[in-house]
Amino acid sequence: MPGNPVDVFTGGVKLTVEARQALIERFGLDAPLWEQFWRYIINAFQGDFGLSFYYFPKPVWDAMMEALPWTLLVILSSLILQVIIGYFLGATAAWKVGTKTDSILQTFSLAIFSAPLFWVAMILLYVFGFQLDWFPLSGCFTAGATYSSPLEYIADIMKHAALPIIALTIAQYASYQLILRNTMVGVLKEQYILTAEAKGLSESRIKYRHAARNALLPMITFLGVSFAVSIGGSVFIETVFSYPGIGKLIYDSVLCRDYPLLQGCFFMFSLVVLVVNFVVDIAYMYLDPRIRY
Amino acid sequence: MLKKSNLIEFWRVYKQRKTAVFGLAIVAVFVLAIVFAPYIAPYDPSLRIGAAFESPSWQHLLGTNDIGVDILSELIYAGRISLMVGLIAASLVVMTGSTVGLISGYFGGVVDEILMRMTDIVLILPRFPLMIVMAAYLGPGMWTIIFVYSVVGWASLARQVRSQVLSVKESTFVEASRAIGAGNTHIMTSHILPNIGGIIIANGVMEIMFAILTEAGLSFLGLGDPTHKSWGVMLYFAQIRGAFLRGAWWWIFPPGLCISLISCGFNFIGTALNDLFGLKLGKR
Repeated sequence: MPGNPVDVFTGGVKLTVEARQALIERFGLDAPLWEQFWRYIINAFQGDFGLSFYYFPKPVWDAMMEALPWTLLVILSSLILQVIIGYFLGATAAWKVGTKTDSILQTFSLAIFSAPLFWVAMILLYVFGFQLDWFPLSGCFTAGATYSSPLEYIADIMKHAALPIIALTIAQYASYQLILRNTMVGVLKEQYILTAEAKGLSESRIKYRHAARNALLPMITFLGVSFAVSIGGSVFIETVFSYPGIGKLIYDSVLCRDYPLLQGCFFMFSLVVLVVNFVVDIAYMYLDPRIRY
Repeated sequence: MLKKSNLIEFWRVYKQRKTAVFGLAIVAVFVLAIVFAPYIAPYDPSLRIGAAFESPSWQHLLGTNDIGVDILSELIYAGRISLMVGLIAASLVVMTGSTVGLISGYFGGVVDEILMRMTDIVLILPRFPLMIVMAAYLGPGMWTIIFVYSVVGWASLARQVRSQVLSVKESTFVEASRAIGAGNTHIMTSHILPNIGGIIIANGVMEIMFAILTEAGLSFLGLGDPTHKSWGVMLYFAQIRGAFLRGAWWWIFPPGLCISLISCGFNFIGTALNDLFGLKLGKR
């Protein structure tokens, strides 16, 4: 850590020797390094990540718990949209494999894959926030507003979350499209597709019910990876839109050198990613009974 | 292994792909622009040559920023930093990743077990937050970004190289070589490496794209070097110095467009190489 934690905490303000000593004892910095580390690990498993420097005397845990729901709201809504968009575009590309539609969809998704997420967010904010004034510029709800009904409250929240969700979706739906298309191209060569065609089923029924559905599994597997990527993305999204989630906390803690908060947020993100991956593995077992762990 | 006739044959197949040629063209244009930056850039990007927040005009094609620096000139010079960081970071990742993958796949057993568990740990942790935490401790800067990217980035490449090594290892020519008494190092460098070289190159090109995007992202969060401005650092300043409030679209759009275009270029090239080399390997 660059500099003494006490200097970081006080922002370089000169302290009396007693005050300095009191602070050192308050944060437990007088113990040997290995003991401090051990205590951190033990406390972390009990949900105690110490006190935030910046939001002092608020515990890191409280700051994170206030922020987590907002991050999950954005990430989960966006994941649902990504899967839906990826599903339809991927199925369309696979159905028209080798045609112009396929190559346009493929090229476009590769191109959009190359745009930095935070820049996509900046453009959305510039165009729809600052220029057109359709969406609010920052925050997760209108500060100090009174709502006549719960519906109005939800509408306000969704209006604030809309741009972050759209930005994350645009930047990340492409992977789902590519994955579904590549799997479905293989599925379309199966005998049962031919049978379905011979039975005279409608095109959309074969496309979505018979082909796309059987190509879903790799997409489900990708959910875990995609969630981890979205978690990283939330740092940028929430920074650009000043959205008070964990990502914004990470950004703020980097700016303010709030190391306890930074470590806590990283711990929290890693934990969430592990849990989601575990859930995806379990879900996979249900979806494909051939898999056994 | 590179013969002239091979290269010509390779180019014949490569140029049939429109996106691949397009990608190469984009990268070529950018490389030319940054190599000849002093001749192309209209002004010196370290000088304040105009008023603050001037909108685009014939004098300043992309306007000026908050302290009156010509944005077009800044953009061209920033390309140097972005591309340099991308190339250095990607080469480091390719070196570590392929070495780990090669050793892990070739020797197997306990070595493989240890290296692959390390890979698992790096892969499961959320990539960007991990890099942010490390960069925050090391202090902002260009070399910090290069370092954290190489520490986190090698794992996925190591996995891919390992799986390729596993299949090449079983081929008869490796067996033959071992039968005549060739050592491990010789087999690895002269027999296995040339056969997986294509995959490594294709992945290396993709790594450049990821490295450029990562550099941009970390710099945007203020972890870059303000004295060596890259495209990401430009966007960081645009964000914190009120480009939005002043409606300075000419400061927000161009750097991101450059990042997107050059990543797109490397992405197209990498995808094409991956397909071409993949096909070659599949035929064997």
